[in-house]
Amino acid sequence: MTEALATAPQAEAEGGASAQAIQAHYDISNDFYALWLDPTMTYSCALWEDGDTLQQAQIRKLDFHLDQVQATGKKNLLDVGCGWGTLLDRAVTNYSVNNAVGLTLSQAQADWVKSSKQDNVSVVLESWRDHTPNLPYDAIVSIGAFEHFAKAGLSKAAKADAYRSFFRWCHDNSTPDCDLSLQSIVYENYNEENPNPFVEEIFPESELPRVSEVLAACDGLFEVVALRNDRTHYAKTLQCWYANLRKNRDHAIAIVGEAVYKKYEKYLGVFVIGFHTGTVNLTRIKARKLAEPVVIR
Amino acid sequence: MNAQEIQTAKSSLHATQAQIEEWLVSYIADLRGIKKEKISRTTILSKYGLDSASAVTLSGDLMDWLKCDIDPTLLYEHPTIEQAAAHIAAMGKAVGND
Repeated sequence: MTEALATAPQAEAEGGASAQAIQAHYDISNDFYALWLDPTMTYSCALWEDGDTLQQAQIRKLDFHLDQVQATGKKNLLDVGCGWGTLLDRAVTNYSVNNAVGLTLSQAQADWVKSSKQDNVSVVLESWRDHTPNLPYDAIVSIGAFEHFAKAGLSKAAKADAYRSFFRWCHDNSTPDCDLSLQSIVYENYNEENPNPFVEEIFPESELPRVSEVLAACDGLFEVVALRNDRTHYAKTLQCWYANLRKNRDHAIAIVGEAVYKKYEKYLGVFVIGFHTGTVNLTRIKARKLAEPVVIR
Repeated sequence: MNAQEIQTAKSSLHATQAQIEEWLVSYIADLRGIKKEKISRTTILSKYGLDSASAVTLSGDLMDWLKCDIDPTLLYEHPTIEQAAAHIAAMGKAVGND
């Protein structure tokens, strides 16, 4: 449900899901994901307008984020959790971005991006926590990775620290005019005291943020310019994935076996309901770097 | 024998509302280990302990039986057996009229 995830390999020290946990979900099989994602292999909530196909809505989403970071002509763009790399390609092809770097902890995704990459696109198999850029970034996008930045079971304070460290890292590794565009699933009408064990089974070690936690984490480092919540867009995206998966049931079972097929069918359906009813939401945030923050925490 | 097996013989694209209701009653009775007679067709299904995971499995099994597309949100938009069956039957009629 989320794109690949750049977070800490040494999760116990840093509070995010481990590479192993990430790979448990994202390295199942590229062929399997290709059966039910759209042809751009975009594994995150689309941005829908009337009459869109899934692919059109996914490209609209990528363009939305590239517009949010004012990508045109930027020198060095980072995609934290780059998935199968579609945004990186689009940034250099359609937005004249000089250099686009993707981070992922998924080996399958990294291999995919490497095999298809253009000269000015690169992918690094590491967490943002371990990433030292050659040049500071002037645009940072992260779509569907924030969900993995805090490990399930952390205290409120440890969770806040984990999120804060992401924005601090972005602040430390960017130019003064850096724009940031973030998309994440968030808890909405949900009781964290009574978690759904099925979600943990699908996304091992991962915990969702609340919008308030995201805002608190960037406070004083990035100025939030725009925020929109689009849970109906995710319900619709998931309905498409769910229908595609069911349509390709036999092929999917041939690739991953019946147990994994059933798990995914159930997970996609459960998340359709989750977004439909508002248990969870999908937030998209545009933020601008505060070059000289006065709030030091 | 589970609910699906009981009803498979009757499965068709043109199941009536009554047949769909019967399928749902049998399915939920089987799932929850309750006698069919104890299941009300006008009670909100969450009262029988159906959570989102079981609602998804139910709508998937229903699709397999009826060979038509049903959204996983079926029981959230149409939360009783009677309402869900009426919705699907109406959907079937709409398809039949195409």
